[in-house]
Formats: sequence, structure tokens, C-alpha cells
Amino acid sequence: MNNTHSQYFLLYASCIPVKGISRSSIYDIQRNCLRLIPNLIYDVIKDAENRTAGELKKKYNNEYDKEIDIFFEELIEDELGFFTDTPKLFPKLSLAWESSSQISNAIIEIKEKSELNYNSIFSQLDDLGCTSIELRFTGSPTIDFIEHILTACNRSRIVSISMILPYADQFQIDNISYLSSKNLRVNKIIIHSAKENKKISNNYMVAKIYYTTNQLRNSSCGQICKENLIINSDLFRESQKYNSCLNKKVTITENGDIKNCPSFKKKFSNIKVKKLKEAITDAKFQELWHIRKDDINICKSCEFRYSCMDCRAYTQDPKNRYSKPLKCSYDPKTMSW
Amino acid sequence: MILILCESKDLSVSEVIDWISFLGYNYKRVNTDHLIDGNYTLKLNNDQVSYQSNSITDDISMIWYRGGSEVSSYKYPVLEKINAAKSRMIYNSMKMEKKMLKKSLYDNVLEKEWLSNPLQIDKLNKISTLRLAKECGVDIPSSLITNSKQELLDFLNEHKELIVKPIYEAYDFNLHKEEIYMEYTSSISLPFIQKLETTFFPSLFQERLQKEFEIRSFYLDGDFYSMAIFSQNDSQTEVDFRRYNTEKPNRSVPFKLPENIEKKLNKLMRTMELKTGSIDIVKTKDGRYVFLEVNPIGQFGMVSGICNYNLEKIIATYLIKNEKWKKQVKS
Ligand code: SF4
Ligand code: SF4
Repeated sequence: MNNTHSQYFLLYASCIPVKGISRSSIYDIQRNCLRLIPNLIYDVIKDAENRTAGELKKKYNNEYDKEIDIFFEELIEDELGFFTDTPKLFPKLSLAWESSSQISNAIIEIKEKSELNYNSIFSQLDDLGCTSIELRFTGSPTIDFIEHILTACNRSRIVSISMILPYADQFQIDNISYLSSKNLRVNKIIIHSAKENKKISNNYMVAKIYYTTNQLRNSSCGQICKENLIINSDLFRESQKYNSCLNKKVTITENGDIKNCPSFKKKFSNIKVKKLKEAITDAKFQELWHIRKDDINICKSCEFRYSCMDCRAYTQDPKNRYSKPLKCSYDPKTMSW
Repeated sequence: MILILCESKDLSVSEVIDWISFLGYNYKRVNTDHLIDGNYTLKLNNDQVSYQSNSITDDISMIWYRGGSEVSSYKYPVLEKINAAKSRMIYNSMKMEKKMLKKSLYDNVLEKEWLSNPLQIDKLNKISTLRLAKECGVDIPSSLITNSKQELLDFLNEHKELIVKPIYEAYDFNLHKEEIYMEYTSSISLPFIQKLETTFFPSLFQERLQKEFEIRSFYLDGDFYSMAIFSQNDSQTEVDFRRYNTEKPNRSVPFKLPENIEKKLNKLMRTMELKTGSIDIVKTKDGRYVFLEVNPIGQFGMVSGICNYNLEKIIATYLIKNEKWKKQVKS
């Protein structure tokens, strides 16, 4: 590979190395996957950013020439990086995260025969630019009622809706698929406390439907495990500066309390007496939005820190605002879950 | 106020609109595909144009023109009752009517600031653009339009590998119901040419460039937002990256065009009086930056998303700034 001697090796801008205490990751936020690498390799990649391959090898006293060649070849083969003569023409990806929404996602607890005005709630959310909504139903809502709620959700900026329903006899697959086929914004329906576990998805429906025997409560939220890590550009960039779960989130509970999330005790007034816009612009309400993964104990040294939800409601030490999420069993030091 | 002329399905426009409202400004959106069924009135006596019962002539100083292919598919009930040949004639004449309908809209709001002016856009075509590019010092692919087999063979001799392209635009042909055939760029070989008649329908041939990567650059009033697209690893996209590989998207990264290239392209855009557009360039293995074409109403969503340029906000800010400026000039 002599011809690369005077060239620079770069990772594609969407492949971003992140260092952990015991190993590192390359986040591929164009193809949405993650590659684990030893920390030594992380250092080599970083060193290569401002050195030609020749200079790089020299830095390692020409003891690892072959290893470095093989390693770069591998990364090229996997389309993670490339050689270039003009590294300055390939700027890094900006990690800025900006949003034209004042609120981007909302959790709304819903019960039938509530005195809340759901129409007004959804219209306020729409005005704030909210794009995704989670509807948590309680009690035993009728199909008609759910349809009525979904119709009220039908607003221009709301593009994705997920629903959580406690199992009841009326929630047979036919009825649920009917709901989903009539409301293309619904992309996920979870029916909990069901009689069996099953997953239904097909090409004719936008939504994925899950039945689970588990009972879902507010306290079930915040689980972090290998399987629910999320790798994408939006989350990666947002979590550089903001809380990956609570930023621009709002919750309205069954009786109208306005909160950051259903699991917090603290409420910021009630929707019956205050406009949503006023409640969420309160600096106190937005305080948690600014807690970043890089501030959290243990997490700040974890190679997965820009791919998991930073739960602030359940933490190992509730007295410490920078404590690690309670429901994550990963230890970055030992690299075990 | 800002007026936006676009297609109803243009999602990138919706995102720009979200930013315009977030930044606290007003806009009016006219879906040009709905000029027929969307309640459009032009009062010639007092130069008033209205859409959905709102005036779009008063209080407008800035117009963002996003094109829109056709005025929507209007069903002509009368066509079902007459014979095919006649109905074809009526259909064609209605098509011209629709085209003029759109033009009536543009003509009557012309005294405003445009991004970019549709009359200017209408003047452009692929061939004249290539010639202008050359005049501005921009490198273009060696190109030939011919109907002669002999000319084509000579051209092949000179360049070893050729491609053929539509002279006008890439069209979606609805050949069969389920199969959409799009006229992409394709390579042509000696055996293929040998099978041709001595004369054939005139076509545009170009040297086949040895690509290192492609560049898609979004241009806005002097600024370039470029993206390099590496398509070589993947034979499916080697000739034309519009043949998307959706499973494993081409590696695409932010790119900074060398300054002298930006300067020449800027001159070209100013010469064509285009304030915005999507420019396609090939960076060849031997270091050339070869200009292919500019789409005045280019899609910017992909470049913006992949390179995180946030063009939606940049465009919104641009429209707001120029709207204010134009208003000041007027008063
Ligand atoms: S803070 Fe925790 S409990 Fe609250 S929504 Fe986020 S993950 Fe769930
Ligand atoms: S340790 Fe922290 S950063 Fe790592 S996976 Fe668990 S919660 Fe996420």
C-alpha cells in the first residue's frame, strides 16, 4: 500500500468515534449501526486525522506498519473510511442540533369520561410544533373512544403516534388492525396485561402491534438494555447538548397535571388552569432538558452514551442530579451487561 | 409577507415553513397543483390575484418559487363521451390552458423579490447551461449531440468510454402499471453502436468520466453547501447515483469545494440569474471538477439531512431577511 503513504485516512463524516473507559465505538449515523473497537484503534484513528499514513506509522516507530495497513484496509472494505489527498475538503459533520418545535414529543395519559378537553390539548401541542405523541390509555376504553381521540390528534405537525393500552376483550387483532389502518400516523400499538405475547406487523399496516403479558405501569419506563440502544443522527446529536429523554418533552397526566414525565412527582400547574405554552416556557420546567450524558456519572465514560435514553426519573442515587440511570445494568469498566 | 409557490406534496417546503413560523413570521402557501380545484381567481381589471379566498398580491414582497410539475390531474368529464382522437386533441389543448393558467399566476405577481424567478428558469436548458458554464471557465464533460453513427464512432475513439443522456430531462415513463421506467444515464459500448443505423434520433453523448466521487451542491445566493457522494463501491450506482441503493445508502459526507471552483460556479449562477439551485459535479480520479447540470428547483432535503446543514432554517432566514429588505426598498 505504498501509494497511500502520503495520503490521509479519514472516517466518513457520519462515522464518528466515541471513546469509552475500556473500549470505544464508531457510531455510523448514516446507516444507523455501531461498531465496537479497542481504545488503541480509537487513538490511531484520531492520530490519522492530521497525519499522512506515512507520518502515522512513524509516530508508532514503524513497529506496526503492517497492522495499520490491515486495519485501514478493513475499514475501507466495510465502507467506514477512505484515503484522500485533500483532507481539508472533507469537514467534520456538524453535531449541532436545532429544532423548529418548542415541544417535540408528548406523553398524554387518557381515560374515558375525563373532564379534560383533549381537542384543546392536541391543538396546543400542534401549535408548539409537537411531532410525536405517546397516548397512554388507562381503564378500559372503547374502540369508539380511541377512534375519537385519534381523530382529535389529526393535526398537521403531529406525524407519529404510539398507543399503550391495557388489554380488554375488545382489543382483538381485528379491531386493533382496523384502528391502525384508518390512522396512518399510528406507528406502534402496545397492548399490555395481555393473555399471550405476540407481535403483529405486515406490509399492509404502518403500525407494529405488540401484545405483552407484562403489566405496564409508569414505573416500567426507563429500561436500558443492549436491545434498545438506538443509533441515529438525531439522537446522537441531540444528546451532545441535551437530555436524550426529556428534552422538549411534556406530559399531561390523567387529571391534567403538566409534568416532565409521568414518573416525576413534581408538577408544573394543570392544563385546566394554565396554557401549555406558559407552563413549558418556565425555566424550571426546562431545567432537566440540559442534563447531558457527558455530565452523568459512569455514563460519561460509556461507549454507548449517545445511543441510550438518559432516564432522570429513576436513578441510582435520587439525591444526586448526575446519578446514573437506575435501570441500566451496563458497566463500562468491565464491559458487561 | 412571504409567498410560497410549491407542490402540495413538497415536504421540504413544510419544514421550511415550520422554521418561518418558529421564527415568528407569516407566509402564504399556494399549492400550484391545486390551481384548478383550489379556488383561484385572477381579476384582470385591478390586478388582484386570490387563492382560497386570500389575496396573494397584497402585502407580499418575497416569493419562493418551488416549481411543481403539472397542474393537478383534473378529470375532464366531457372526454369520456367522445372518440379517442378528438379527446386527445382536447386533452392537449387543456394542457396548454393549464400551463398558461400557471403562468397567469407568475406574471401577475412579478414585481416582487423572487427565489428564483420562474421566467428566468424557463429560459434555461441543459445544452445552453453547459455552454454558459464553459464560458464561465467551469470544466464540463466533452459533449456531442449527433444523429450520425460515424460521428459517434469518432467520438468514441477519442474518449474510449461514452454515456448517453436525455437532451431535455429525466422523465418518468409509466410504461406498465407496476413498472416505472426512468430514463437514467447509461453507458454505451462499441457493440451497441455497431448495431445502430447510419442515422438515428439525435441524442446527447458525453465522455464517461472516471469518478472519484460525485458532488451535489446546494447553492443559495453565493453560498455553497456541498456533499460528496461515494458511489463507486457499488456497481448499482456507478453511473448515476439516482439509482438509489436503499439498503445500503451511498456514503455521503459534507464537502468543501475548492475556492476557485466555487468562484466560477458562482459566476455561472449569477450569469443565469439563478439565486438558488442544486448543482451536480463529478470529481474525477485525475483531479477535475466537472460540472454536469444545475437543477433550479433542486431537492435540498437530502443534502441538508445527511450533512446536517439545516438548510431548512437557512432558507427560512434568507426569505425573511429578503422580505424585510424588499419591503424597505418599496416604502
Ligand atoms: S425520564 Fe425515565 S421514566 Fe421518565 S420518560 Fe424518560 S425514561 Fe421514562
Ligand atoms: S452506562 Fe449509562 S451510557 Fe452506558 S448504556 Fe448504561 S445508561 Fe447508557
